Amino acid sequence: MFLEISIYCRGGQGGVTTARILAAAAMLQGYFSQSMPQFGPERRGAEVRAFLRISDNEIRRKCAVTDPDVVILFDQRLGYDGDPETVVVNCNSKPFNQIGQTKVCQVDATEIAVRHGLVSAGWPILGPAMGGAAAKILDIDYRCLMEAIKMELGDKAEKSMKAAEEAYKVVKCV
Amino acid sequence: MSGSMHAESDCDGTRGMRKLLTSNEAVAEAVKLAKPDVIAAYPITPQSPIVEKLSEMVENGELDSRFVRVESEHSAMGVVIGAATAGARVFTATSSHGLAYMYEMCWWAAGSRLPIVMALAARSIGAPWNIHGDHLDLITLRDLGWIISVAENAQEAFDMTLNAFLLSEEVNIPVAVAIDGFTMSHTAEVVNVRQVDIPLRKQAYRILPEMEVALNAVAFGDARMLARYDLAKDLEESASSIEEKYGGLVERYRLEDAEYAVVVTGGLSGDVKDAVDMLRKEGVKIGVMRLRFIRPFPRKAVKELPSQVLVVDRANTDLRGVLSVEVAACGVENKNVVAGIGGKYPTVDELYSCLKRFVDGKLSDVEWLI
Repeated sequence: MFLEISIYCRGGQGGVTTARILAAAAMLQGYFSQSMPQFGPERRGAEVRAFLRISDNEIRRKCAVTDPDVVILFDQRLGYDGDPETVVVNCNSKPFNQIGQTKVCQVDATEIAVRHGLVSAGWPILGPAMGGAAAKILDIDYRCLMEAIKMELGDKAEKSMKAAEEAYKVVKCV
Repeated sequence: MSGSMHAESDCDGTRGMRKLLTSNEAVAEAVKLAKPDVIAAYPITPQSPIVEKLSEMVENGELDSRFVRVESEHSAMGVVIGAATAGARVFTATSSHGLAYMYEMCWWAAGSRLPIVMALAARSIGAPWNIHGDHLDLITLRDLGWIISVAENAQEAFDMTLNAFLLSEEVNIPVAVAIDGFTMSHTAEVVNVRQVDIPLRKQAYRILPEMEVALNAVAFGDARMLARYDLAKDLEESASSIEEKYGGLVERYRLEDAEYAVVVTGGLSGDVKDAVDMLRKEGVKIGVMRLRFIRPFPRKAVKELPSQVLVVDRANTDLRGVLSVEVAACGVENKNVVAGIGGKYPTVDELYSCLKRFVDGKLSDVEWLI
């Protein structure tokens, strides 16, 4: 197995941390993994990308993911590159228009984040919910995900674990 | 995807001390094990997380080092030179313009024959301004008399950093460990963090404040030249230690039966290996010689390369890449591709096309992958 995943988000939404948490969860599950933020103008609200690779074998390449198997889209207004098999999208109360044969998995990450008090400077922190939903789609073991969140966030993990747990359970694919 | 991931019942993928670490974090973990007496550094992207992590370790008592905050990289190297002269084990880290600002003191470090370990998160040097990775800063260290190792991934960043302390203290030559800016420094990978005890610092000489000694006084006549010759000779001879104890100057990947070889260093080597595997599937006899060290330069290994050689560089000197010139200086004619300047990092598919053209004899003498 060799999976390439691109995360499209906005600065401050937690996409870079989500890539790292998912990579940690995959490692805990026994895989090789890699998380790679794309650095540029890291301003709150600016488009930010992060990449994630999960593999049975050592991952050698360090290039950007240009043709992802899975896209994790934090904001529907952001486009994405490539022709992924699956898009995990924050539906934010409005359904996402399916493109071609792509499998679309929806979760209202904004609503979950706000309800769990994951808001910073007025911006919902979508990472935990989007990560939880993506983990389900990527067949990442629930307990490994929780362990990874604890490992990466330490004392601040509790709200994130709850949001991730809920998203893991409610994400729906069409 | 469904069913392809096998769940381990205990989520215990950290067995054997597997950790998810960026190369910056891997360097910091290795430094922690080496227990330096003195760390001095000035923050600069993309190196800053190394010294941020180390300062946290010092603050919370995990690491018993004196962390000296300085006002510039020039002073950072000055502090570690002073501390190493007094017999302390020392560490610093920098990048790009920081290395440029430190440059003068890097000469003093080498000429004084001091064991010093420096991590370099390799990054482009302006102008124009750019924070991303290439080897343009790294290559400015080339002629000073430092040993220069270049890691391929976070695991090697960890191993090389740990070994750098031993090697530097064995041969009394400063050692740089380079990691590629961002594509390694900020990319998290699975690393086996060995728990080892490394021996205490070895010391050729030790000069303490109360001693009335002038170090590096003016050296006219043959003294300066002899010092430079001794350093050059010892640098060259450090190759035997590196081969014997520290993993070797080069890694040979699928070279046994190769008719074509790609010479490359750093993280990009991983992408090149993936591209080479694609060509191997088509029956092309191609392999990779990855330079783990660029000082001392692995001349012997390079001379054993097959007749068709492509050098992929991330730093240029004129139109040609620096490693291409070095390989040519070993009497090995080569085609040259300059890639990944300022973070313009090629995809594996782009590298595959490039290698394919090389094998088909369609590559020009020098090409830039822009």
